[in-house]
Amino acid sequence: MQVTVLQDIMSANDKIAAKNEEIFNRNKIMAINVMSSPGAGKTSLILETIKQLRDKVKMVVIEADIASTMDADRIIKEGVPAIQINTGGACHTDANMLGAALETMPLKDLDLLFLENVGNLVCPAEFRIGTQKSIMLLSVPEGDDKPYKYPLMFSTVDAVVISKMDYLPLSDFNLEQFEKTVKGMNPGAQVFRVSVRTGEGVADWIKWLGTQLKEIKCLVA
Amino acid sequence: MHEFGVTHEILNIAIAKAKDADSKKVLEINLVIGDASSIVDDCVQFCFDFVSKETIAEGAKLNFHRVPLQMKCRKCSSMFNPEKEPWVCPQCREWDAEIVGGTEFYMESIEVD
Repeated sequence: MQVTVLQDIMSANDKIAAKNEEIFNRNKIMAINVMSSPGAGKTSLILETIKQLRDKVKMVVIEADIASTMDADRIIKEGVPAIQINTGGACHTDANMLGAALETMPLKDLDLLFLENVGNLVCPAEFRIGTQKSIMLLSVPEGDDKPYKYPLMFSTVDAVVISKMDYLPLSDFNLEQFEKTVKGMNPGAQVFRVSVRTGEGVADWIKWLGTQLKEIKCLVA
Repeated sequence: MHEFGVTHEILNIAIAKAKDADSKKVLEINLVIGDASSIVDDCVQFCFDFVSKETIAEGAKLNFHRVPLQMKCRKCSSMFNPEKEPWVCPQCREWDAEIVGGTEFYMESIEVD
């Protein structure tokens, strides 16, 4: 006998993601899912953001890695609370892992939450976790061909940060072509050219964050 | 490696639906997966054989119906299946398309006893 099911496999995950999002909105917290390959500079961008905003914005960082607490330790050293989730071999963060982390932290008076996802351009794009925004970094040394190889990631994020811009003179990375490709896949995505080493583009990134924060604070709960 | 978690979910849904239908055995599970998904069929079946042990779905065969990636050109609205140049519209040659199909992942039906 055949039984019709028609149920999304991700529905259990998506339900928890919706719950997480509701928690963020209720507490007026802007939550941002930060994704990239390993080593593209997610932690460095977050550390730079902390330096720029720590006097004005109350932040927390959730670090997801397969193993170790190295990233969380770097954040805590800067005086910002950080929680390390070890995904235990999983290649991405799912809604349940984020939900469990949220239960362990005080959310009152928080403004901005970064979830630094596991370094991976594939699976994290497939799991909704409940952050209101998601961004990705693509570092210059990785090459400008990555949107063709990881289309789902590039077509679903709200912003693409081209990181390690200081490497550009050493590289054959075609900036114009890359940005055209990204805009073709995802016309709504903001693209930033950033080097946290030289400070290039940091102001634009911080300005964008400010706009997102304002939006969430004006949201009627 | 996220097939394990996904497979758990497949098992949970199949068992719940089989119980709703008062059946004692799940024989087959029919899944629809878009080509944009990074799920690997063989990997899911392998995990399933493991996690379904000693459940009413033990030994069930998973059937994967693959849905090709489908694109829509934002300039001329034509639909196309990307091949060599995935994002270039074959009609107007514009590079401005969106994914409109091929990201689905759901259970269509189960075969029960």
